Amino acid sequence: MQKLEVLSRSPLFEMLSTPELEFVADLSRPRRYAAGEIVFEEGELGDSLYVIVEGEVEVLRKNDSGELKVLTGLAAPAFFGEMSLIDKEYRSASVRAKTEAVLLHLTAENLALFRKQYRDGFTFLVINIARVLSSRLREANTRLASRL
Amino acid sequence: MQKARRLAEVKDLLASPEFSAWWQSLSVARQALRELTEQYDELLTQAMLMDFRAELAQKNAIDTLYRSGEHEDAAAGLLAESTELENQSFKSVGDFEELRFRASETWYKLGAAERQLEEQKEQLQQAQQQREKLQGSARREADARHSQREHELKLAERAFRQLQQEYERDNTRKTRVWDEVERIWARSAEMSLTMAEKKMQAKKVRREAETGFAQAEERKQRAQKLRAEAEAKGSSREQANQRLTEVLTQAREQFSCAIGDEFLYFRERDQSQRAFAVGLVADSQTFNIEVKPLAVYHVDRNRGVSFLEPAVEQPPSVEEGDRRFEAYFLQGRKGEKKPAAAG
Repeated sequence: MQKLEVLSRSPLFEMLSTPELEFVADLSRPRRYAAGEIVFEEGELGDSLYVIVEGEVEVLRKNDSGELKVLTGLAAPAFFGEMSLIDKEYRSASVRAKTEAVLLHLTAENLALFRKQYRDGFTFLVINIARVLSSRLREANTRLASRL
Repeated sequence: MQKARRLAEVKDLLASPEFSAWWQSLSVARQALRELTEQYDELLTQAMLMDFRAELAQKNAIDTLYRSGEHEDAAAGLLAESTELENQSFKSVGDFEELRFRASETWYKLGAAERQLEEQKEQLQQAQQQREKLQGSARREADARHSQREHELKLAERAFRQLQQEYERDNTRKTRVWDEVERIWARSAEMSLTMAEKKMQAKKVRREAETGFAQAEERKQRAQKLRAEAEAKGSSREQANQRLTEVLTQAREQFSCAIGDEFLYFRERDQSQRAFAVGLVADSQTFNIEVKPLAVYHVDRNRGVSFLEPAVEQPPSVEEGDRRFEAYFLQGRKGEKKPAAAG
């Protein structure tokens, strides 16, 4: 698996230089999941994010009656898990491998190392997370506006 | 005494022909150890499996032998039962013979009684004819004789009926006893036939048990052989392990570093609390980051490899970072103009 290639395609690492991407690649750990295997569950403490290398995952959330409902599906090179990493809250949804999947796992500790070595690169990484969150917020606003 | 180095020096060392040769020796020694360990484990597993299979065959053979004994016991039981029935049949045949003799006797008696009855009937008829021809005192004497004859005829008829009943009774008993004899003979024959089959089954099962014992013995011998092969392979593995230790020790002397099983350690120049760790393995699960062979990591003396940091030559210049920020914040995103109404 060429971690560097995967990371360079991910919106999370947009604008990072090659040495920065190489450093992140060194920090990240590959994780393999079988189809149907849970990556993390809603309500767990989360201090890491995942970048999809291969396969697909689905984001699920329990409804009022406790049934799991699929909110969305994600495929490479998307990333997930960043919300708990930023706001230090519990996982807001569960993520399950829809197909056999390979993910790159980056913990808060890994990102702290990245920040220590590449402060600007780390700033861009945070900007990228903010961009994604901002984009989601805009999308949510649009949906809300269409219902008003 | 370990020599303190800078990262560039460590990287130069890793790129040197001496280190490449050592790395090659280490790879060969590891590969040999890995292969011998696999072979040793495989042989040991096979030996244990064969031991288990031998024990299983032995247990099955013992169970089979018990089963053979059960068949033999069943055959002996059937023989005893058959013999008892045979003896019972002799007694019943004796009873039958006695009844047959009695019935024959009664039959002859019945024949005699029948003849006597016929004679008396004729005599009574004659007496009646004579009586009708007579008068007076002769008639009275004839009447008296006639009465006598009638009485005798009644007695004869009663005797005949009794004999007839006796004969029927004896004949019925005789038939019943004969039926019983035939039933006993049939049962006895069935027992004998079944017993023969049970005997054959016992023989067959005993042969199976003997085959099982032979198989168990053969497996025990194979297990011993496999164990001996495993021990030999274990010695080779031990030698390969020693060779690996020698190669690692050689690194300490040749490259002036500390050695672990999975890392080489070099003191970091001007950083007394830190060292460089060079990965000798690939491991994406155990450590805080993915470890790659010959990759260089920073470690501190206290935590060691429990916390690895990728070692990089130099952080990027401040200027490079600034240029990117300018490009991002001041030149608009992705070269597009900012829409007027956008927030």
